[in-house]
Amino acid sequence: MYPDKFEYFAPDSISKLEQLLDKYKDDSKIMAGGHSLIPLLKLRLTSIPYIIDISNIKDLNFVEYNDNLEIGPMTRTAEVASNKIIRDKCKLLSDAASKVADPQVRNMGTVGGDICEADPRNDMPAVMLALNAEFEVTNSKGSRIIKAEDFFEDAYTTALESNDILTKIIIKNTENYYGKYYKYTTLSSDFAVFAIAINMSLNGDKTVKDIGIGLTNLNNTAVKAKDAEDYLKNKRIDDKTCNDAFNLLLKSCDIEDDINGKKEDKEKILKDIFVNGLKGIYKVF
Amino acid sequence: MMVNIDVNGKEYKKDIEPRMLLVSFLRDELNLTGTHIGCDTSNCGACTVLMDGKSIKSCTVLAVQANNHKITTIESDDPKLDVIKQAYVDENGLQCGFCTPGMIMQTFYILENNENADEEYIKKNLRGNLCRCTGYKSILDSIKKAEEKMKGEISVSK
Repeated sequence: MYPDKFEYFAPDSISKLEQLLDKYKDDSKIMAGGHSLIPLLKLRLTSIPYIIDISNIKDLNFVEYNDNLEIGPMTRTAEVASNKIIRDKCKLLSDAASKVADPQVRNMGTVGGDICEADPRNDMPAVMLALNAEFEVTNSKGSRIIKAEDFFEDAYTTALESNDILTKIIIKNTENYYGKYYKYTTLSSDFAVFAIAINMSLNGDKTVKDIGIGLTNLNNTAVKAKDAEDYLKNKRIDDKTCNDAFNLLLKSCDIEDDINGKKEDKEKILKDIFVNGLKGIYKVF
Repeated sequence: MMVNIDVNGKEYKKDIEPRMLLVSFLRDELNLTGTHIGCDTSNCGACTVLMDGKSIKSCTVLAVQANNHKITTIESDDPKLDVIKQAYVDENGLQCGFCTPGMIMQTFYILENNENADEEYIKKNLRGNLCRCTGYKSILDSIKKAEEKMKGEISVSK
C-alpha cells in the first residue's frame, strides 16, 4: 500500500519548521515517528500535500528535570520507557510508555506524536491528564501553555491550531507521587480496549492528598475522571470509597456494546481494574 | 528526493519519491528481498529491520526517514546473525518461513540489548512479531539456543 503523493520536508530547527507551517498551513502536517500518520496515509484515510518530518530538530528531543520534569515531544516512546530520570521521577509515565504497542513501534513512535494525534485509543493522552501535565505550544508569534485537560477536544482533535508546534511537555506532579497505567487489551491488538492512568500522593495521615485519573478509550477522546478525583481527595482508599469513586468515574465514560464486549461486561472489568489499581497504588506508600 | 542510506555497511544514493516506504526501498530499489511485507499495517513484524541498531517495522517507515541512517537487514553478514540463523535451523524455529526474517532481526535486537534475556523478557519483546505456523515454542527455543551459543563463543574467545 502506498500513500498518496506528498512533498516532504525535514527542517533542522524550530524556526524553519515555523516558516513551513506558516507557508502551508492546513495543507501541511507535522510527522514525528509517523506511526499513526503513515498507516492513515497508506490506507488513504487521509491525504496530506506537505509532510514535515521533525526528527532532525534536536531542540525537540530532550528529557530534563529542574523542579519539573520536562520532556521534548520528539522523545521516542522506548526512550521514555527506559530513561532513568523519568523512571525516578514519574513511574506512571515510564510504566505507560513500556505498555505502548510493541518494541518496534516504541522505537519509532514518540510521546509528542502520541499526544498530538489524539487517537482515543492512544495511551499518552490519558497519562497526561492523570499527571495534570502542561504543554508548551509554539508558533511563529510566540509560545503559550495549554493544560492537558484543555487540550483533548474530541477524537483526533486537539486545541492545536494548524501552525502550532508542541515544543515541551511539562510535568509538575512528580515528587511524592506514585502512579501506574492499567491497560486492558485483547491478545490480538496492542491498542487498549480501555485503560486507566492513576497518579496519587498521600497526606501524613494516609488520606489522599492529590490524585489524577485519566481514561483511555472510554469516551470520544481521553478524559479526566474529575468527579472521582475530587471525591477521593482527603479520603482513605477502602472498599466504600473505591466503590463510590467508581460510580463517579462512570459519569466520565461513554461505554457502548462493541466488538470487544457488552457494556455491562466491560463495566465489570473496568471496575475490577480500577479498584485493584487504586488499592495497589495506595499500598505502595 | 535524493537520499543517502547505509544498508548493511554499504552506502546507497538514490533519487526516490518521498512516499516510498523503507521496505519497498529495500526490496524494489536495492533488490534486498529478504525483508518481507506481511500485513503491511505494522502488526505482524515480518518487515522488521534495524535502524541505527533499533528494530523498526519498515512497512511503516518512509525511506526518506532513513536518510543518513544505518539500516541492517537479514542480508547483513554480521556473524551474530549467522549464529541466530543456525539456531533457527537447529530448533526448527520456522515452518512456512514467511515471518522468519522479521523474527531473526527482532531476535538480533533482543540479544544485542540483553545478554541474559530470560523467557519472559524474550516473550515481551517478541510481541510485535506474529507467526501463524509454529505456535512460538520452537521460536523461543531457537532464541534461547542462539543466546547460549553467543555466550559460549564469548567465553571461548576470552
